[in-house]
Amino acid sequence: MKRLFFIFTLVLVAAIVVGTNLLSNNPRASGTVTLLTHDSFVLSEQMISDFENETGLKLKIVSAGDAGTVLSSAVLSAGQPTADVIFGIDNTMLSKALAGNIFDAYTSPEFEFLADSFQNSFGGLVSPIDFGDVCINYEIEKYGSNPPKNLDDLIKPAFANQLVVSDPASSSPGLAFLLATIATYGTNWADYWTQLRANGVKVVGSWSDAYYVEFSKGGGGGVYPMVLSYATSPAAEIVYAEEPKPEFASTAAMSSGCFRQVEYAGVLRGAKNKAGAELVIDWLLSAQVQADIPLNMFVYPTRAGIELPVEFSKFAQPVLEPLSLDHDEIANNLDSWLAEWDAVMKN
Amino acid sequence: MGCGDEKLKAGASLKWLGALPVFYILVFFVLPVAVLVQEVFSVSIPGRFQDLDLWSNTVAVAVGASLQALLSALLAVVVGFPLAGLMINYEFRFRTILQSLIYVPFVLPTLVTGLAIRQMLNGVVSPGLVLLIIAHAYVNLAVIVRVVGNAWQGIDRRLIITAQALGATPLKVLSSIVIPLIKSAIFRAFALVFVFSFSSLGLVLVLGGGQQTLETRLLRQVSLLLDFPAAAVTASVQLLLVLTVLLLAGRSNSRINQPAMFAPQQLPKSMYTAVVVAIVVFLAPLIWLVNSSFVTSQGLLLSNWSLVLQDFQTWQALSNSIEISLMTAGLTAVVGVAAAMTIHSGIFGKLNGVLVLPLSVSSVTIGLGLLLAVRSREILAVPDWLLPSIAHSLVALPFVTAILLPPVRALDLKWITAAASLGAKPLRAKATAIMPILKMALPAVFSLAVAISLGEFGAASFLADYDNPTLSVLLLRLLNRPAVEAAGMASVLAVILMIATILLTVVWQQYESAKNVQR
Repeated sequence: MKRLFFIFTLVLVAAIVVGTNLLSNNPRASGTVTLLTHDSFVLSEQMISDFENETGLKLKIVSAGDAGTVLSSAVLSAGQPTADVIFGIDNTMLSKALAGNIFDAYTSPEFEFLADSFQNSFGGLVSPIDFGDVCINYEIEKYGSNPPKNLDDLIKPAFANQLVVSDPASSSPGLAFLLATIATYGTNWADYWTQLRANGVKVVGSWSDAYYVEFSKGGGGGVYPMVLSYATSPAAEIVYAEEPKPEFASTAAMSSGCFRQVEYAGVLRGAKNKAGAELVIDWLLSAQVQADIPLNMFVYPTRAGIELPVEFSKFAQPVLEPLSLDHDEIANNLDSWLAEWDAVMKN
Repeated sequence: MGCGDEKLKAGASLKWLGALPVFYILVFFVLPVAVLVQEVFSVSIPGRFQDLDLWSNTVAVAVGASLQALLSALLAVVVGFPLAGLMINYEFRFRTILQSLIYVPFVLPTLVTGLAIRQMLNGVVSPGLVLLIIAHAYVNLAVIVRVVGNAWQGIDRRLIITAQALGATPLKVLSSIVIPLIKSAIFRAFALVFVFSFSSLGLVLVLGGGQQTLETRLLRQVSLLLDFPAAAVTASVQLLLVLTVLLLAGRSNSRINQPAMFAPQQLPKSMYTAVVVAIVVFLAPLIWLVNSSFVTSQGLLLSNWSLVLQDFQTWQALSNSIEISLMTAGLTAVVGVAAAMTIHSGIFGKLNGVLVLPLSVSSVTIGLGLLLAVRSREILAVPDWLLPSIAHSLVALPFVTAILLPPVRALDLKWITAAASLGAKPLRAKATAIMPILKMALPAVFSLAVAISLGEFGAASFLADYDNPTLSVLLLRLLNRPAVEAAGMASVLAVILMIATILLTVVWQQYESAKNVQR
């Protein structure tokens, strides 16, 4: 009996391993171009095979963890990069990336098709690929006709003990929110956080903790009806729902107090396949890929005139006046801002 | 204590055996870290390293984290010791299942276990030092049970039977016989749990409620501030502290044990409740995750399961995880056996200290180092598909060696002499004697190495082919997607991971207990 079980398991494991290897598709192409990115990068298989078919190159994607660690590995290997092209540097890290001298300038022919607000390539070194907004999300049913409207509302007694956010030192949206308050309140941002704390804001270690455990609509039995998340989170809710899709989303995002995150790509200095890297940038900026981005990564394309999926137009919160800060200012002050935030929030 | 006091003669055949583990650590650990250190220096302003404030801040964080780790390890030993005793000395119906269940919290990616615990205890215990200590102890019970259990198994039963015949109470047997004989194993297990709790990241982020460790600090410096000199300072303090702890633990020499010569006794009815409680405690996250795998924004449905199981990528990831973990187990077993025999033969007793070096360093450091050495500087020519297994094996080696030491020490040298006197050449004689002992220990080695590899996501996300992630990495990517269903799908993957772990460990437990009975 035990023997049988042992053999059965062996056969099962062998079947899984052999089966998947036989069934998976490994195109053989003449050259390879390597893209270094973070572990939130997603695009449809179709996009990747289109690229490989059109260029004859194999696209190899490597990751080194989250966006910051990816950048670290790129800076440490500047001049002798582990890949040819990098994607996923966002505006909070851009200054460090530029200072680390990791890019080779390249201006894609597709660059002129980007929306006006994205026509800055910092001397041709990077290309903006997508953007998103970090906003406070809330449960629609709970607030009815009186939802939170801006950052000032969050410190009002009517909204006491209802907000959960994530730690800026360990969470990208958490950091974006801190920057949003700095952009709004300038040198008095620490006072704002003192008042937030007095109003019962809960801080947890990661975005997933905040959303899936503490948020009332996150499925984890949480009791907080406001959570720090993305402007596209309500759209994601609908996209992932099973058929038949609900007509209305149960969550919405505040349109004010949102911080803009822009993601850039660039050719790595010293890349072995520089030509291939340039083709990848062209590909990322192409209309097909830009249209593929929203439903995969839940961010917006930077290219002008791209039609957004219906879930985005119906459920995602358009942000007309996003907040932002100069990237050099961020890099120079981040350490002291985080230390001050710790001092205010962790005593 | 019997013939085990003699050390194996250091023949020529054993000298090259010792070279293998040393070479392995040198090439796959020391070299990559050296490359990383060199790069860090080249991008740093020299003055930064002399910043006294930086050092004192770092040490302050280290002290706080040490306290947390100390308490975690204490709790783990206090709870784990009786649990180990239960598993080793008694036979009961659900023993095999419980044995596999103990691994579950250890194998699951810490982020998942952390979230499950958070959800389960939401409102009951809030994130902070207490919850963190409980979680650390819970997750690391497998280490205590394995290490302490293995040593306990090696105690000569005749001592115990004699003591009992002389009228000793169970408590007296424990305190005068069992504990003195296995106290170095207890200390070693304690040290390992200390190191894990000290270097823990996922659990601290989810359950720590703002607790800072050197690991969270390192993450911040590498992943946010890109402050490499500060990161180097943090990593150095971490290395020094952890290395000291592990070396102290390795110092204590265990008494030579005889191989077990007994059959476990039937569990007395009075202890059934203990078993039931243990099973419930280890089953809890499994049940919770199964439940949350059905959660969607429209209530409990099967949709997450159908989405995940129909996705070919899920099967690919499962297959990839299995392949990587089996390769890890193979690498670790080969190097581990060589290491255990080298340590026991006394040629290079300090090898223990060398083996634990990778544990003293963050997986971020190892990952970055390997990345630079292999892909940037191209100093090491290692095929890409082997890299994650190598990183995992570095973590698994010290454990595996610890498991292998008791059986190697218990090597009955009469077998070797007997074989030699019958005309077998020295190598053949040793091989004949060694094989049965190793066959007994290898299932444990494999199951532990596979367990460590399956749940690891730090190095795996660094080094594995992006298009072909492991199950753990796939799971964590899902957790980054802002939708309730994504968390549900992540739970589905967690359940699959658990089933895979339980299957594999049950298989090896069967094999192991079969071998024990035969003896």
